[in-house]
Amino acid sequence: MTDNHPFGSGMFQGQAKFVDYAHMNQQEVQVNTLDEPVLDTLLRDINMILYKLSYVIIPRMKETQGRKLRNWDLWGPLLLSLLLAMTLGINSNQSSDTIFGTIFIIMWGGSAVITVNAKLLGGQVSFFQSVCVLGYCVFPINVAAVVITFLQSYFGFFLRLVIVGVAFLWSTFSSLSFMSSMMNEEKKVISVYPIFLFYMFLSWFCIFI
Amino acid sequence: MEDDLHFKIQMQEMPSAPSKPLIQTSTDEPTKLSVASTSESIPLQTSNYDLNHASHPKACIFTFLFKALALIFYLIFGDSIWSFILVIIFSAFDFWTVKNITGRLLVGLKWENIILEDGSSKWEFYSMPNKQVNAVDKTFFWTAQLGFTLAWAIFTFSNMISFTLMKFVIDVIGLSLCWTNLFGYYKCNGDHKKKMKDLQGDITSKVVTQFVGQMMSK
Repeated sequence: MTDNHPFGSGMFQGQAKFVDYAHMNQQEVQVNTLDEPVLDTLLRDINMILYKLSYVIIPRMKETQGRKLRNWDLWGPLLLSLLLAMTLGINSNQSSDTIFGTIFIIMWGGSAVITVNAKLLGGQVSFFQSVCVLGYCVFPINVAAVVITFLQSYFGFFLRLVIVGVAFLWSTFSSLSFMSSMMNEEKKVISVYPIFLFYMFLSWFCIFI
Repeated sequence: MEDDLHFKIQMQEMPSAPSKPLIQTSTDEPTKLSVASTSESIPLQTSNYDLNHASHPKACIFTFLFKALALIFYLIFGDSIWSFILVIIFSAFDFWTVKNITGRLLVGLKWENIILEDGSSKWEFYSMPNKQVNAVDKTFFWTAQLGFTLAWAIFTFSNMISFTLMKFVIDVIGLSLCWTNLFGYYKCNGDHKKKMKDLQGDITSKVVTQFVGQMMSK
């Protein structure tokens, strides 16, 4: 929407004829998408989700490449939170209902709190955009949780700690590059510290539940 | 004489310019004069629900399907975590489907919420002015959207009074997703009508000017 290539450069290529979005302005792109086939819309959105996931996996510090993140969507955080909650609920002692509710509330409530904190400190970031990024950056922790849950017998405690630790650092670093670019210099630490706590809390759940 | 002929040919070409979708903020060439009239009222005759006359029957079904599934699972599972998960998933599917696919196909409208450079958000509405909208499609779309929003609103208020937290949260989620779509499309519809009115005024004045010009050149 704000960028030039809706789906041409993604992993899945649309089957429709190629429309040169690069030389149109934003409104023209939108009006052209009013008539497009259903598959195009689907593929375009899937590509956006995959792009954001790739951004999390290989965090890029440059602001220009983060511009595509502005097209926020909450699919990623939704799926990731569901996956995380279900994964952690499989092997635990407590009832899976409790765990599910806890993880869900922590993830969404935590993202909301961090966003409100950033906005109150004068950050120029939209609410949903920030929740979107924080949600997507849970992906490494998710991977760690899945690995630990399904290969539990092979891992001693120390190895679990290492895996989750790596995932935690990865998540934090990914979201930092986005969040810190939104804030003033002197308030960066105080707005970034809650993110650190947030992912630490989630990682703690992975190890000890 | 040659110039006269040339001028006449030019005048004849103008009114039948190929129709282009109207871009929101620019004044475009005039589109076809016969503009579709979209009436606001939702007719209640059963003939308007006849799927055989709909131009996109699958879209009509899907408009209802996800919303209905969300509500059904909510009623079946009531207070448990499963109801929470299923309502959220189906409401999310419904939201995406209505916003990106069904709305486009059934009523030819689209709303977007754009994030600007400084983080603020802006609502934008897109539509095609010369699109003919099937009456059955329109009825399905608006009935579904209004009906389910109303249903969720009723549940929300009844659970607000007898405060069962889990049910209330689920209701709020269902209501907010349905309402957002309803609101977006309602605003888009209003914007579309305003555009049509402006366009008709534009076309009339242009045609009159051309006609006068033609008369004066003879």
